[in-house]
Amino acid sequence: MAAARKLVARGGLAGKILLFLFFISLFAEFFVPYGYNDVRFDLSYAPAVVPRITGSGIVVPVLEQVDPVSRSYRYVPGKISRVHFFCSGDRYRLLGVFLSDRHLICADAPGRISFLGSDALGRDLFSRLMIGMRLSFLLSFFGVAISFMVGVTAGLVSGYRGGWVDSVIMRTGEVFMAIPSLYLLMGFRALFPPGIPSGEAALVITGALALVGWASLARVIRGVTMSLVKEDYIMAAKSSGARPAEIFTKHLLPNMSPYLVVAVTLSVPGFIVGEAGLSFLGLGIAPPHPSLGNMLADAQSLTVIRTAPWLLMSGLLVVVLVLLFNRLGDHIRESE
Amino acid sequence: MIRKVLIRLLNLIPVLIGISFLSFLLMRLSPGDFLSQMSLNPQVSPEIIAKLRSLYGLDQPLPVQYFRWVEALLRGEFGYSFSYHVKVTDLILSRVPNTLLLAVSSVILSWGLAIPLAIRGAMFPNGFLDRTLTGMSYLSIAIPSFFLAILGVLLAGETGWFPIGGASSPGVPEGSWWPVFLDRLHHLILPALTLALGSIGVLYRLMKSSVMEVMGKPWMTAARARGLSPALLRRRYLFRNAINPLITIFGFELGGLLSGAAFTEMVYGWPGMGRLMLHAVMSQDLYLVMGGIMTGAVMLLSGNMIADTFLWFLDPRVREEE
Repeated sequence: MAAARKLVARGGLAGKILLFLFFISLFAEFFVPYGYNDVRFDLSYAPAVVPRITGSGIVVPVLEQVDPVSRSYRYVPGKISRVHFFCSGDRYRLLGVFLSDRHLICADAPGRISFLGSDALGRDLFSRLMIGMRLSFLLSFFGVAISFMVGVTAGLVSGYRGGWVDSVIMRTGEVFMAIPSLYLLMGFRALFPPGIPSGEAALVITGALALVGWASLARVIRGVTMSLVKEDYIMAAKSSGARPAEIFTKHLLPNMSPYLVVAVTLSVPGFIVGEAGLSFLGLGIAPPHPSLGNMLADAQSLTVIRTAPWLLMSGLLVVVLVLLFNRLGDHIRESE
Repeated sequence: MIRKVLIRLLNLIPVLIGISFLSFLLMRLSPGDFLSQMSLNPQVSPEIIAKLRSLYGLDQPLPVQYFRWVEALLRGEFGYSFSYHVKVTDLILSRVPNTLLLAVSSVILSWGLAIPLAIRGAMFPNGFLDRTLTGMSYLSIAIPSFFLAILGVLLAGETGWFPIGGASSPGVPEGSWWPVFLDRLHHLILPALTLALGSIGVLYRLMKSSVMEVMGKPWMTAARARGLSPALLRRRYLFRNAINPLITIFGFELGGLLSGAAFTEMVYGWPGMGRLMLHAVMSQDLYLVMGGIMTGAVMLLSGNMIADTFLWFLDPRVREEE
């Protein structure tokens, strides 16, 4: 816990923003006005409708479709809906467990709050973005955890044992690094049928990304281990009969932890972009479940971008998340 | 030199065997293949399926299948594509030049832009140019290639400056090479630029810090004190010393570049390896996926070899080590 607090304190602004975004996305269903699959065909590509403060309280204007072909909308003159806070709306399960229908913000019946606009099926883009962002966070955290467990173990064993064990592990790593990552990802993805459900797809992607990422980490950890093993205190531990597992956990890992923290942070963006990329290609999370990648795939045609430029927001969010994680990593490294 | 290249090539053999084994394993572990999909089709009788199965050797035990595949690989035969109904070798050979063209032009663009800019930026660190470029390099590193490609499509659509889709336009007269070349170039610019912009950030930062390090060396001061002109100093001494780390990371960069190229190809409809791979994965086209992985790995490994050779020629210290 103390370590976590230290990390937050050392994270700087980028760390605080990320923590905030993670918190929001974790309880996304509460913070956003609508569910991720709240389809409204009459609001296809509807523009953003933001609450405004008037004399009679906070209200939203009511949007009405003028032409379903050109998807043009207008405000119904004189018609407004009141905005409420901590109100009841779509039902959901908070953290996947607690049944609830409370939302931070919602509008009375004909009105609709839409901070960023709607997608082709009239679903609220903001709500979907926040829920998609949670997937990005969780998936990359799990993926990083797996690839670190494998990579660090392989690197430690390889660097500590040396000899043929080292050769085998390093040659295996080279095989994984010699294949361009997207080719390897696609190859791994081909193990599973194209249209698997989103839950399984998330697991598959996590595994695939971890498979791609472990080798380069193992290589670096091996190098660090080899230089640490020559240190006197490791020699002392060895000669006093400490088992390798003890040396790993008591001496080697704590000594490389500053490096590990930075490496963890800087490897998260790869997972975020990897998930988004695979989902973008239709090999990852399948709609209606939102992911930053499959939402961006909706914005591939020029006509769609012209009608609803806000669909590019999911791509922008990926860029922002990657920037923040890179900044966080740099910040931790500099504050060492 | 020749001995060194030979040793390197020999070292590649276990890696190539590993890659072939991995790609074979990936494909054979998958629950369905093209034939099991075909067997759902009521028009295809089970006898035909069984016949095809034995024709492709799919009824043999796994080790036998693997060795048959590797043996065919050594003859340059990657197998048969079930979904395109042509030989995988022909398919791959028709796509690889396009991917290489895209990757090489993007390398020329990104290095051609990043190196002069980095030298200029390193001359005046924290100046206006350096600060702008450093800020942009953060963005260049953070922006995924597929998002950049979508923005490129948007640019092309709004301005009409670039054609979208494919690698050539219909109606360009065959035979005369000049219009064909121009048309090709016109199609190439935007994808290559997209790819280059994604890698320019890393290159700029690396080259800048390397140039600054070299500029601080005592021999640079000595050369300057002897009155060498700044232009000569930059060209002959600074550049050749500072380029080293850039070539060293070329191998890593190439891996990202080939993946990025695949995304770029898919968004722009550029007929390269990446698009072929995606199609192969979508239709569970066994031999095509295996061949694609092998080809990707061979491209990456050859890129590494070329970079090492360059380094050997450029840097006497590397030659000394032997």
